[in-house]
Amino acid sequence: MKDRLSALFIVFALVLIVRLYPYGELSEVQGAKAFSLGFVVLTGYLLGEILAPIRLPRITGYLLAGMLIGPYALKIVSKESVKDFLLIDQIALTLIALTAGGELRLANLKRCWKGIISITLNQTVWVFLWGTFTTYILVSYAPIFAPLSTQAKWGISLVIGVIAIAQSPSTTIAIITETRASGLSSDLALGVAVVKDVIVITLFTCVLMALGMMDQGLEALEWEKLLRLGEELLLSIGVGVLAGIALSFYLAKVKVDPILFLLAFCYLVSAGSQSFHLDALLVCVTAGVWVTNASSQGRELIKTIEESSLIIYVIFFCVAGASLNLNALADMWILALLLVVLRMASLAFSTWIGAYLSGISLKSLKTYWMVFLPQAGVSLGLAALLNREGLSWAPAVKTLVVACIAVNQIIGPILMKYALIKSGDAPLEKASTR
Amino acid sequence: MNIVVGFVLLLLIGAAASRLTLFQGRFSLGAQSLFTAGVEFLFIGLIAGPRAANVLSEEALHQLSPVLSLGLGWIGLLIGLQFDRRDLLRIPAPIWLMGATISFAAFGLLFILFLLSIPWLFQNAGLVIQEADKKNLQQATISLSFLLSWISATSAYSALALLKRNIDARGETFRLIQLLTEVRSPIAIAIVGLWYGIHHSTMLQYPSMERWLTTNLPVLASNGGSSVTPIAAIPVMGGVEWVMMTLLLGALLGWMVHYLTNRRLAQNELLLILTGAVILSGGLSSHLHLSPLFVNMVMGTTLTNLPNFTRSRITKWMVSNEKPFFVVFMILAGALWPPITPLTLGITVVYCAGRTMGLWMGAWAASRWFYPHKSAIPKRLGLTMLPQGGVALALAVDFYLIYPGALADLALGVVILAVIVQQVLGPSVAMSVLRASGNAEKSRRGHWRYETSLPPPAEESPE
Repeated sequence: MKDRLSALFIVFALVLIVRLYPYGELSEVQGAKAFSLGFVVLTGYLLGEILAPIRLPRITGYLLAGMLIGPYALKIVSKESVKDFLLIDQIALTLIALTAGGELRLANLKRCWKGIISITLNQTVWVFLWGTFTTYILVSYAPIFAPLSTQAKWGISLVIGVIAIAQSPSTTIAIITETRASGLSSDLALGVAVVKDVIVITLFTCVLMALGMMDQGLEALEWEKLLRLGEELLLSIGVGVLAGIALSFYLAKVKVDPILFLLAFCYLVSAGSQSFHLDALLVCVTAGVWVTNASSQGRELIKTIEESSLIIYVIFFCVAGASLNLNALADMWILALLLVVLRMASLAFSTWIGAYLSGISLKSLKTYWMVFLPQAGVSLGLAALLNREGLSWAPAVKTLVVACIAVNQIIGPILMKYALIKSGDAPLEKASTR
Repeated sequence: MNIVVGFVLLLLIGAAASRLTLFQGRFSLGAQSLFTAGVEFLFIGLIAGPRAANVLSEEALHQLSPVLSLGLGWIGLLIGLQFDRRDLLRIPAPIWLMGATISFAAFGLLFILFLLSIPWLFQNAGLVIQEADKKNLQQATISLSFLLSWISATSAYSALALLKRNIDARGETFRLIQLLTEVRSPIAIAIVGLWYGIHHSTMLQYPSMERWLTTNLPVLASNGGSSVTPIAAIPVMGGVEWVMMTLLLGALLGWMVHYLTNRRLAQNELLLILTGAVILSGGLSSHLHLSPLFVNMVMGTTLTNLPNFTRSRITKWMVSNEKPFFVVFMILAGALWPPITPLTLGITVVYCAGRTMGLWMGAWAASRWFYPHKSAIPKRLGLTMLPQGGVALALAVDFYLIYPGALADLALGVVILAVIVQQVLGPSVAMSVLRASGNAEKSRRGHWRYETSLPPPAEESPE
């Protein structure tokens, strides 16, 4: 611990040296990108390591490091640098999705498929309804939203209701990897996260259509939009299968520099998905599922990714932390905290009902709902999409959603790790080791 | 082009090219030497660069300068890690004296030759020298001569590994050549680093000399030789400050890596720590106009001399994972390759000829003055050290990054050409010398493979 603190001290001392020297603002000069990237990698890693002995997940450390050094706190890493890292961020996300798919073994899922369907459906229904109605009550009294029309308040409630369902597959897989959790609880958590990702995207499109209808009547009903979404999701799965076949062929036959190939593969998926309107996450999850279940290269895939996974996780979660608008949290922390607490309650209730109805036997049902708490990229993406719709209340709602995600990102991984340890999937003694 | 897109593209090109060159065939020693030193990546860079396909445009190269710093940093760190006092003490004092003698002889002879020939070569290339320009000419000649002469003092280790495999070079003489090659690179980097420090402010604020060179030398002026605008109006550190800052940053980074690596680490943790530290130092060096090569060498030296039980593990890991960094570095260096002009060719001829003579004379004198068994040493020992590679290129690119301009273009062009020429001819010359002196068997052509440009790490020592 002393060594890591000393190393962290040196990293910050270097920043101080740079700041004290009058050779121009760091954000404007050559070397700023390299400096920021190196700083993000080292600070994120060190904070993760420093928090590990007190049983906090390492990714909480990466996130906190990002928040601390990002443009909303110490401003060591500028907004421009954060934007520069977005491509690394996207590549990291696809690599994490590939891991998630690679970890989904159909043989394991067979024993919990009922649980996945039951919990997913119950969470979708209950969290959406609960989220929508409680949000409506809250926004009716919140000074910032109170002057809005009833229609607008219902619009806000529907949007927040859908976003409340979302769960972060990347955080889920990161925590499972870090704690080396394996068993029913972790399989269930991963399965639900992946299925909910598809459901949330579909539901969000429906809600946007509903908002249009509220405003312009039935004329705004665009079934093509929904059909297009269906096509895109199916196409994503199809492309994922093809990508999986290509990936297993490469890992089995070519075997040359697999990590370089995976990096290039993830870049292509990320860039290609943007161009062809595919869901990069779904493409990679499907590819991972294919490699693990339809070829003998699943173990090789996971091993290859794990060789470089640490640096990817550090950059990904540090950038996620640095992108979190802490000003938004400061502005709306009371409302955000209330919404987070209400989401927790609805998740606990729906998870309990889902598990009960499926007849699945979980070791620690009281705390199991905590594995569904983490929120990140998908929710942020939905909030950003809302901004594009041109709704007058969208910026305020985006700020609120970002504030909720910030709270969920801080407490989510901690509680998820706790729940996995309680469930017996993550052994206590291994919880703080990599 | 986005920096990451460029980086991924480079990795892909590098990986594909390295695979293409992996087929096992019967090549001449010179061709094998080129592949072993990774010279083919220079050509890939040239093709992808702004002078051919323009996939790596001028702008992309500017954006990718942190990646170049990363490559330089990696080489610097690896060299610095060799400065372990325990290993250094194991090298006998005569070897150090011989290494220094050879380095200074190569430097001295070439420096004098350059001082005499460069003004003449400039004039022949069309440079009109008036009375008022004499100071500029003097400054350009001294700077270029000093830099190139010290670059000439380094040799490539990869060619020795090739010789060992191909002609079964062995025995005391071969070990001596290996040691002499090993000790000379750090000497050159340290001296060039100190020279940067001493002349930092004049070198960075050299618009008059740079402007004079670029506008008056038709080759550079018409060919866009000076592709990068010299940095003129920025606050610049003084020489002593520059050296102190380099040492401080290198030492701090070394301590930091030491704190993080003084326990057993997983491979991916080691990758994160070393990559993070090298990227950070590259960024800091670029920002403060320090030499990434020198800063990282100091970092490596600090790290290796602190009590650290994973020391040799770090070196081994770095050497075994050097390839992607080295490949990307060579591709980027190839993309920076300035046009070949009669001036570049002229300076290259002087460089190669002067270096050959300097090494020959230096090794001859050193073996007579300092080596106890002088009769066992071949008379033309210096000619076995002709091949140059990664370190020479790293020094030229380092100069290019810190002091961009016409002079840096010229130096880089000369060094790239010289590396190619010496990689082709060097091993054959060395082979004939070793065979003639009975230090090698007849050729037994083996399959070649990629070799690191640096010596292999020392075995784990008990600590």
